[in-house]
Amino acid sequence: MERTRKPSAHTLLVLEALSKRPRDWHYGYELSQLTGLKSGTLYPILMRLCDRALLDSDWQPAAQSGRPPRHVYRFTAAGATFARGALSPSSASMRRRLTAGGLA
Amino acid sequence: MTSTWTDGRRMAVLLLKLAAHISPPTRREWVRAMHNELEHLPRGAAALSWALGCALVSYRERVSVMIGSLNSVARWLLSIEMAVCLVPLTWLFVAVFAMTAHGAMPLEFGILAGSGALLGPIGLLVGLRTIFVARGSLSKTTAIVVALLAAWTVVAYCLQVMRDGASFSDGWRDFALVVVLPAWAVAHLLRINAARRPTAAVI
Repeated sequence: MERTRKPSAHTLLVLEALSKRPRDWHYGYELSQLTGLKSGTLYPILMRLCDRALLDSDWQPAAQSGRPPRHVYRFTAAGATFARGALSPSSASMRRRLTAGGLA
Repeated sequence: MTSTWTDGRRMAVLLLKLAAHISPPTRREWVRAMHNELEHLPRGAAALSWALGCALVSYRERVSVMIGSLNSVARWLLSIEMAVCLVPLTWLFVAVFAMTAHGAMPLEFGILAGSGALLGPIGLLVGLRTIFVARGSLSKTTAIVVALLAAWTVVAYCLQVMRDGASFSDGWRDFALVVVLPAWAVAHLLRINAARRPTAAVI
């Protein structure tokens, strides 16, 4: 039986950043800037979300020529539903505290 | 382009190559994603910090895969480890129980020593279940109970030593068998359990 655990505060930050434009593709660096998370924290969260089929990932050609393609992410239908449930008012206060504490 | 920036960039690329080398095959695409993203980062320390984070992610994923994949050899090795660490305490529990039941040991001492040694049989059962049941992982309650029992074993041993007034130099073997080895087994079990939880839960 699969266990469900409350998402971590960092995961909530990622969900919140993706929720602002849920239908758009997001770059890893863009998400890092939006959430304030370092790559070492951000990518494991993206991996787990993709593993759970909450995120779609794809490769997109770079806007500038000579640059490699970029990995992009956006919510699946299940991911959007999950995010709406996770980003409830109670978890918003926890995120505010985290942001105020300079962790995010 | 300054030489400092070039050095930093070179270091970042080296770190990402290392990340690609150590990451498990299932995560290679992610390393490529992090590597390609580096090409779109602004110049400066950000690239190095980004690459360092990626290398850490690769190490963590590698360690997670190593701990999570228990093949048959590892299962037997773990079984031996659990037996070495927990069988002495299990024997102590049986001996204390038998002596207390036959009145050869004061009830108060029997309860203290018996409850302290309870980790032996319970830890052994939990450990073997974790090792041999496919994808078996402990519930949160079981993990907390085992951790509390390990803590109580330490406390009970210390109370016993204080009660008897024995010095550590006299009882270091008992300390190793009753406290250190079982505590090691419990710590290892909890570590394995954390790594074997469904990845879906770890977000």
